[in-house]
Amino acid sequence: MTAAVEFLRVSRHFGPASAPVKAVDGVDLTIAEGSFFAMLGPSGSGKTTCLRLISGFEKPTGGTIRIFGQDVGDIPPNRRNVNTVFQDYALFPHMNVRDNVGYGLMVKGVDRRTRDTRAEEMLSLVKLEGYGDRKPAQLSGGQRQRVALARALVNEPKVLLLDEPLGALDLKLREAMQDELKALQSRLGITFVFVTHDQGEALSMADSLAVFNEGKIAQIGTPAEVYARPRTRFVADFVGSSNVLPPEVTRAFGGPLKWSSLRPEMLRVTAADGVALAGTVTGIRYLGAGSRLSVALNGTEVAALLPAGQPVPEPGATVGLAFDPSALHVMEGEG
Amino acid sequence: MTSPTPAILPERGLADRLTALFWRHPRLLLAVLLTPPLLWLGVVYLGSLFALLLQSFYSIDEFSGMVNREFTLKTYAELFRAQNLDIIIRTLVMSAAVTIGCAIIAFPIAYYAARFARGKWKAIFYLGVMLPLWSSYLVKVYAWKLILAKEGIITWAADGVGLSMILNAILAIPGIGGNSLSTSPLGTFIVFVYVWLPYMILPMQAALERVPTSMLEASADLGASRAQTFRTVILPLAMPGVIAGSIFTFSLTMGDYIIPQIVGTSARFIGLAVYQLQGTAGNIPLAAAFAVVPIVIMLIYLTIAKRKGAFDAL
Ligand SMILES: Nc1ncnc2c1ncn2[C@@H]1O[C@H](COP(=O)(O)OP(=O)(O)O)[C@@H](O)[C@H]1O
Ligand SMILES: [Mg+2]
Repeated sequence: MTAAVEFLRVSRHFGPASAPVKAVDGVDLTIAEGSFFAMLGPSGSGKTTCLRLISGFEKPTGGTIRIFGQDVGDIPPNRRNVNTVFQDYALFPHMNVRDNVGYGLMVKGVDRRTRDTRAEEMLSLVKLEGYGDRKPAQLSGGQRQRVALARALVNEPKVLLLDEPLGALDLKLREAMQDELKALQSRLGITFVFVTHDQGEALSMADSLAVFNEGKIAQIGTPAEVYARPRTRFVADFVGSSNVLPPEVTRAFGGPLKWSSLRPEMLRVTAADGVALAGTVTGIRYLGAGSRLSVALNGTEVAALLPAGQPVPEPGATVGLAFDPSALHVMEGEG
Repeated sequence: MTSPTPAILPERGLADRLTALFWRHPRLLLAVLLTPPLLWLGVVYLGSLFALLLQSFYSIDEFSGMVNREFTLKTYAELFRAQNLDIIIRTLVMSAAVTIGCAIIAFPIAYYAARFARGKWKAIFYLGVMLPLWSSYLVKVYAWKLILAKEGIITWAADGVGLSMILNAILAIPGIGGNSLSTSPLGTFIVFVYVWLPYMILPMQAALERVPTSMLEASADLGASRAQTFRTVILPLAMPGVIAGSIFTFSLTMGDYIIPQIVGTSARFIGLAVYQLQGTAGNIPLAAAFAVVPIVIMLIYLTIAKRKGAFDAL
């Protein structure tokens, strides 16, 4: 399989060389052709900058970027067959929806009729038939998002970049769009690079994902790998809010003297008597599909997920915790 | 448990009573705010415009020189006499040229200020654009007369660097050239462009400021070259600003009667014609009819601009 995008020790530093802001710092990355790749990380971790390095709106201060094997160091954005769905959609307010979608073809000199036909096709792809004559201002947020998608797809890009495209939508619409985007990607076979700070979104949509922290990649792998075997404390906490256990606690839990991660849903809450691990309930958060208990134990706070239907203990009660020893994941990475 | 602060706070006096009054009757505040300016606009401004319009439908008695207060289109017909039509066309061409000249010079400045200038540089930009407006208009025009004169700095500099050939060639062009820059239509043009330039830069800059960077990136992302982005995104989005600026430069040039008197040939412009007709000639109706011409031209101009979609981005 070819690599759609490759980063070789890529850095993008801003500001003076004496005190640089290392937005992206020594990133190595390979995105396989035809995959749905997610960049996940907290705000300010360098995801957008990475995307802009691929589209060409930022130039790396170090390293090499290849798109389909070709070094793009000298290629301006308009010559990269890579298109972007912008975070604020960036639709042209003075053009109607049809002209917005057909814009990429217009600048290539495609004639009006072909352009309009293609624009209609794209609009039906994103389920917006008949909206061609409207202005962007007359559309809802979700519709604008679809127009931005159609506009970016009209050029049949080799890679589609999406910068938190669902961030501005409400929950229901966001979930519907997640399914649609995923379906669209597998149908078109285009490589999608999807930026998000929502770990649920990244886990559910991506074929593989990179977790960003302070301009570096903390871990890269399939969602299942990253979730089950977080490499660092940061990843364990950021992806799925795992219990990050310091070495002494890991040992008390039956592991080696190392940092480890234990998923809240892997902990069973039992009666306090006759178990090795018992602690005091310090907080209960009702989640609908269950409750999240905070249990103080061995001087640390441990979260356990209690499925709905089970009796919920009172705060201050003493409970026992049990888990399958294989659920305790020992982390090798630092940070 | 009762808290020491009441749920409803006591009224503190007149300011609170007025706030309450306006809150209960939201229209009232609007009325209070709008009445004085509407009176001004309606009575003083539109009223005098109407009086002017009225005058233009009167005519002047050729023998007695008295104004004949009977409705007639005779005065308007007079506008179409060769010598008057000449004035109108000359003014129109000059206004259009000045507007285009201002737009071309203003664009890069406005673009730089909107896109790149930040903090201190933005302040310097505003200062640089506005500073010329602080000195007297007459001083500036007379200064230009000296700059453009045959013995002035431009001729001197052209001689110095050996470009007087080019200067003379330009001055030899019929229609825009003349004896020297200060006595040529080109000179008038230069001074007009100079004095009205700020009125073009500022609205243009405001319009460009409203174009988000992501819009330009989206255009490049979709494959547009810089020139295509300029033509299809920047220009249409900046158009309302360009039109706003052109309203200033166009109408200020059409109404001005001082610059053509000081710099240029003594050929008359509308402003000068109005000035002379209402003064020495005492022909108020014709002066009024002349004054209506720029208004009509501006209305036509704006109608065309609207048809062409210049305000679509508003
Ligand atoms: N043009 C810029 N100038 C200076 N600093 C920047 C610039 N763009 C991004 N940064 C900095 O780089 C870091 C990463 O930003 P970004 O890539 O936007 O993060 P994310 O998209 O993950 O939220 C941030 O600290 C941000 O302030
Ligand atoms: Mg971002």
